[in-house]
Amino acid sequence: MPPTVISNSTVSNKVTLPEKTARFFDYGRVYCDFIKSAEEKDEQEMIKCYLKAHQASKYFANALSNRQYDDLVMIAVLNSSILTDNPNEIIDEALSSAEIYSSFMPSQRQEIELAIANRLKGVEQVIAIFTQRYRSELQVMVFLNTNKYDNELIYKILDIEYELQKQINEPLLAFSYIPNVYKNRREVVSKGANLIYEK
Amino acid sequence: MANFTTHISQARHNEKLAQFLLDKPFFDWSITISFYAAIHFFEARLYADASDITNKHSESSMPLEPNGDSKYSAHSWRARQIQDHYPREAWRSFRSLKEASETARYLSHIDIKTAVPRFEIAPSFNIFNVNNAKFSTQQDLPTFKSALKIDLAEFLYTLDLVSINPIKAAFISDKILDNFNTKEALLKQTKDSLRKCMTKEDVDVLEQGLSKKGLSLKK
Repeated sequence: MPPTVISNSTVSNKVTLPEKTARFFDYGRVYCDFIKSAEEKDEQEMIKCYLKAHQASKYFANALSNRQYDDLVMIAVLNSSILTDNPNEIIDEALSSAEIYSSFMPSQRQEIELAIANRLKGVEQVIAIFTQRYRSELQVMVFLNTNKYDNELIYKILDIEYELQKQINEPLLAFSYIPNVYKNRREVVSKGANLIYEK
Repeated sequence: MANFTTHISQARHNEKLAQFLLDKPFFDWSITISFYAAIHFFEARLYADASDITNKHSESSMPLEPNGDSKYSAHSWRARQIQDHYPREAWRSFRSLKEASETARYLSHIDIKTAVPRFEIAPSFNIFNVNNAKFSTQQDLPTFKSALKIDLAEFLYTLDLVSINPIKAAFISDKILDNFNTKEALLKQTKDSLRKCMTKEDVDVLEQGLSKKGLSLKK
């Protein structure tokens, strides 16, 4: 069964829990790293790498096991068995599956969105985060559950923003912190805005 | 575009209006006016720091797309410059002012794609109280000015070092702003103590500038 290629936009529209997404990509990345590193080693080391990749692949399959990624789970399970049952055939199979997994690795924007969501979700008053492109900026609209302006809260969030700004040089991030005074959040973001976190 | 003196004058004008409005029913506007004072203070400092005409204004240093369009909005680019070149408290106070002023200013947010204004269900004077306005005017703005050493930059500008040595004037000002926080701290220095951060020629230029104002370094 050929893999179903899920576009970046489909992934980001379905995934609203950053920690789940991060785990999914982390296992995939570990798998790819092992496959890639095996290419540069002698046969014995190469087999060790593939065995580690096999293990990572199993974790990857577990991480994928939800309804959104059925096809990927099948590929991951299939690769787990190929990697152990047919050692002579593992190289081609492993490389091709690594290529498939690579296509599911997050784009730079998704990585940035994950970093932002992971840092800001710890702030109790943050209830939703959208991102949208404007010129070469990535605008980040952070919705708060407060209906009065709270300077101390903004200072606390700005300390987190500062670390993110220092960590992410490109694209330029433009944050806005919006009190809970809108009837519909979608009214203040563009149509193509991406919901990256919601409580 | 405005020069140093114009930016400082406008900044102080805005600052006074922000203070004036604090005990008026229109106190929410003092937040926005404080933000615009901060912009002028920053542009003044940028003007004083610049070594050539291409980086005297935040707009003129804005990166461009291949088609000539600005890469970023002016406010975002300004915030990035402050983050990259000035202390953390300068960035935080500027961002705090920007954030509060945008919330106060935009009873509507413009939908970027359709350019249609979307209105909030609460006007700004219901979202802010007078303490929020005081926070902007009496905490954020003074912190920003202090972090940018605006008073010292203004003093150095009045020395007109450019007329004494146009090539080294900006460099000398930079050295002083890097090493001292106030005019008083600078005037407590001797020629010898200044030589730790400046050349003899730089100190001579500074002395000439001070002398024109009837001032001198400590003997």
